Amino acid sequence: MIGLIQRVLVQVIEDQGGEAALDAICEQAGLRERPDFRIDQDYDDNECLALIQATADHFQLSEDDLFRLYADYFIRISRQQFPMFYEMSGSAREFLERQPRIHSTLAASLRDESSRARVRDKFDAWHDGDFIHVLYRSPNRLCGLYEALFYRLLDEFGERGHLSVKACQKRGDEACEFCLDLES
Amino acid sequence: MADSEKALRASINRIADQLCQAVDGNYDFHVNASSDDLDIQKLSVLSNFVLESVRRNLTELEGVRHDLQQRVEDRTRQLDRIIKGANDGVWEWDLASNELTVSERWRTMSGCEHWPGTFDADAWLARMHPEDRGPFRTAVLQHTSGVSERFSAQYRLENGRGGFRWMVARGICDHDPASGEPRLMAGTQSDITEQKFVHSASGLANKDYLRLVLQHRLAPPDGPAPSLIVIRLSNLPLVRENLRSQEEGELGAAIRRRLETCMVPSDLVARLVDGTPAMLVHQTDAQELEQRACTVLQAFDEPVTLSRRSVWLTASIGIVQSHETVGRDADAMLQGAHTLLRHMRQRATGHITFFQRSMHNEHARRLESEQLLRDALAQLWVEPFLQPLVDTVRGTITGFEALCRIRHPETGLVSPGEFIPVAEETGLIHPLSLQLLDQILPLLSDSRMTERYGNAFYISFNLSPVQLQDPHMGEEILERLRHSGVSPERLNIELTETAVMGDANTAIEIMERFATAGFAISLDDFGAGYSSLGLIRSLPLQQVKIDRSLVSSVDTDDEKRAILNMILSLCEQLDLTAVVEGVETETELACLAGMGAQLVQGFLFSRPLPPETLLDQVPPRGLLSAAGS
Repeated sequence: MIGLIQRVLVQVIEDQGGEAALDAICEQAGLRERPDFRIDQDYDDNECLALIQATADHFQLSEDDLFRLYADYFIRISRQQFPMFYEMSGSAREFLERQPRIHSTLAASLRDESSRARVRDKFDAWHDGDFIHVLYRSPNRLCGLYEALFYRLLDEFGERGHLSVKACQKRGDEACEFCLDLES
Repeated sequence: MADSEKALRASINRIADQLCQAVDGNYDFHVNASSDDLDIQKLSVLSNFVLESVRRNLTELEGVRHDLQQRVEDRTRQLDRIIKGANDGVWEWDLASNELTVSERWRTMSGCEHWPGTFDADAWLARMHPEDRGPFRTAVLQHTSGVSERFSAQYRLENGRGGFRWMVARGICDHDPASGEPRLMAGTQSDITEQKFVHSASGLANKDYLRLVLQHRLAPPDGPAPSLIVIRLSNLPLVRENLRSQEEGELGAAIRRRLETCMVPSDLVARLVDGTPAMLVHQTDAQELEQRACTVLQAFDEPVTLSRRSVWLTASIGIVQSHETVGRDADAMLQGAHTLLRHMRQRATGHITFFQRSMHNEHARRLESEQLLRDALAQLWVEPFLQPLVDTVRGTITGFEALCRIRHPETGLVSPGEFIPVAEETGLIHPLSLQLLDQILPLLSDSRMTERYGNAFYISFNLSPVQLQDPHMGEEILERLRHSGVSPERLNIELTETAVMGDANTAIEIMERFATAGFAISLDDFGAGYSSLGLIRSLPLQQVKIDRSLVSSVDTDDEKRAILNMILSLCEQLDLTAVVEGVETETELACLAGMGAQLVQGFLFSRPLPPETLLDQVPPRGLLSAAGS
């Protein structure tokens, strides 16, 4: 997983619980030392998932609550870090359509082609009338995080909309498929 | 400068330096930031993204290029297959530079194997037959100007080996979208020689091709002129009548193969307009030509084997040399070939006959005679001339031989030698005879004739050999006789020996019908050919007319006298009236009278005369004394 995800999570932890919380969570997640996550590197998926789980446990947050919290941080931090991606998009729809390519942008720094391909191929988006269909295929099964990010992004653009799950890996489907209905 | 700023600059330069690798068009590298600074990492990420995008686009472009190349190759292969299948040549004409770019097949089919792939388009036109260049240019102009939707033109193209191929070019013009000016024409060239120049059944080149090649080879005024060897297969019509259609095709192909065995590379074997095979050869010397002809004759020494039978073909050869024809051109050569073939048909020529200019003159005269004859029949220029038959004892006229004459209103009398052979050859002898008969019959009851020559004279009327083979002829003569009311005994039918011997059964049948009807029948020109005494016995004859060749100088020629004596004696014993023709002198008459000849005919008494003149000039009796005076 690209280091940006963990980096944002570290920011969440630090803001919510300080250095002590970060150390505790890292320890609980099995990290030998406090990591300094880079946005141009790939990190072990299981380590990341463990970190997420440990954060939820530490702050006694449900997964949905943590994702909502995380989404808020992510949108703010990513907007600060990559403002052009937001400026290029006049609406949430535009941003969401571009999102798989932005995701690929971050994957470009990975040295290993197979890693790049793995990250690059996680998302796919296409139109179906006014709806946007998004395919998410990751063994990390962070579909809940995508949903939280979707709604936070709508807020960021001052729009409204609805995400319905057409398929979900957690239900045994091969990939998760979301149908995004945007009012704008 | 602060350390942080130095570190930042160093990181930026490291990234920039790495990006310099792209200068050679190599994008397959990865930017490594090695910095903890988030912005440097961002720069690194986006640099890598741009590099990957370039790589990805290049890969995609390479894929597209490969796909396009593959499609072009597939399409090219497909077009190649189509063009190869169609056996067509491909051309592209740059109208601005007048350059023509052609395919290899185009060059091969055009006999220009060694030409470059691109050359001046005028060279294409230069190889076309001069008669085809104008229509070709017109077709180009009509298409480039938009009159015709597609360009199409047929033309004969020199094959570089002294012959021609018949081609059709089809194409389309590309116009400049801005100015509308035609800038490029492209299309195919198909070889349609087979359809245009080859006789499908025999596989031989047809008359058009023969004429074209002849024209071409005769074109240089000082160049060597080719000769034409025509192969007359005299029994071919009869053989064909007895063949199935499939066998006819086999026969045609077999004849072609036989002739091909006699060919040398520069020869052409083709068909004349009547289907007669002909070989165009380069030899001009008579001896060499005769040798070539012998080779062709030898090719027919063996029978032709068809699927179900073998057939022998009777070949004779005619040779036309250019210097003998009237004018140095293809038509004169072909005309010479046809004249020669007719000459060979009509005469018992040898195995090899050379065309001579005199044949052409004869042909021209024959054509003229036929026209005259047809005019004469249509305009009623036919007249009977009468020559008396004189009794050698009484000196009286017993009858007349009617001879056919044509009196042309401008040129006067035409000799029968000029039109009778043509009349026999063309079948016009039949209406000619009937027209003559229609004028003879009234003479038998003409008051002036009867007043002068009595009621008992008869008129001899000649039937040609051709007429004697016509089973309806007898009936038509009888019908006319019945209609005229003249007694049959007063019409004497004269037939020659050769006429009777041609188809003896039909001739005898007709003669017996005449005899039964009451006609007297004379055997004319007896003694002129292979006279058969047996024939005289088997025919229903009343009269034998002894040929003039036995009469001239009979007074001095013992052999002739002996023969005449024998014939006269034979006639007497068989109770036949003998008429001696061609009596011209007193001594001949005296000699013949002494030998017991009953009737004579000849210039001594009278030339053949028109009835009016005859009435004026020839008395009914006293002719012996008149001849003596």
